[in-house]
Amino acid sequence: MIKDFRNVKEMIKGLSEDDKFKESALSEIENKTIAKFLFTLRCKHNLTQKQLADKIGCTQSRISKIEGAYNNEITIKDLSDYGEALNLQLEIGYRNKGLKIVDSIKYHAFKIKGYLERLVDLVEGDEAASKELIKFHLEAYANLAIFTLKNIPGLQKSLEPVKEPIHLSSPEDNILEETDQKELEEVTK
Amino acid sequence: MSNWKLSYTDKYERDFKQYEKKHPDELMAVINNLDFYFNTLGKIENPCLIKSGFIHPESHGIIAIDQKGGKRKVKLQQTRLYVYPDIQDKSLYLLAIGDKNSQKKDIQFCIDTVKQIKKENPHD
Repeated sequence: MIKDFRNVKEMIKGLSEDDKFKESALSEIENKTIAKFLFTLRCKHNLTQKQLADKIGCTQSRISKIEGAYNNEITIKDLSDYGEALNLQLEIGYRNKGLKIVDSIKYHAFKIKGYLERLVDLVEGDEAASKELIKFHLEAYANLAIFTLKNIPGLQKSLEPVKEPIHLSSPEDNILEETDQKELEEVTK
Repeated sequence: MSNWKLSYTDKYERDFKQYEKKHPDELMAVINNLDFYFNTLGKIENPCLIKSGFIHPESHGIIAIDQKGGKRKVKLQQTRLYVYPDIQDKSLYLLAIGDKNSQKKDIQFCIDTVKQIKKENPHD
């Protein structure tokens, strides 16, 4: 084994010697992200193309075509059919291209806050459900605390200063060596 | 997020370069299918759940990925890219690329390599 790659695109860049091939292969991969997403979704639900086709009520050949299609060939109907068959709600939205990871975290944090508030509204007046929701809040709090605190030791470790080795013996050794040399010279005189 | 990595053998590198020169369309097709497989592996972890017409399980946990699927303008020669997913190490080993004629020899090479990988990285 020579070198590891993090993904297939990196592997192509690392091994290809033909620029034309490299460009086409990378473009092919980049233009099939939606098909890849649908393929993963089907596998996650442990379904074959035939089983999914039966759920949707279409032919296996249509599923095969969708999973081999380029991004600009997949229709909203294809997406909603996958959603219906897999009991998932299709949500379509735009995201700011310049969104940073920290912005995403903040966005999701506020989403969580919103969902928790919705749950609180839902259980209003129901004693048993309120008790369960308190437990859920505590569980959510613990999980979020674990997620955030988990990374801190690793970060702190990287901040620790590198300890330089201290050579205590060297200067003294030199002095001793010089002294020994002088003594030896005196003796041999 | 996926933290699987791709490792490859010397033979895979040689095969890749040979196919790039002589059969680029076939190489493109198997690489594209490899991307589907690898991408899904990172999200569902269990290689057994990845089912598609281009995936063929072989012995010793080896998977053969063929050229089928996608839209191709030309008829492609039967080509197989052999991989081995090591679940413990989260490594997908790219072992070899070959055609129908070299299939027997390729599979034997893959089996020997996988035995070596298992010997070098024994898991409980």
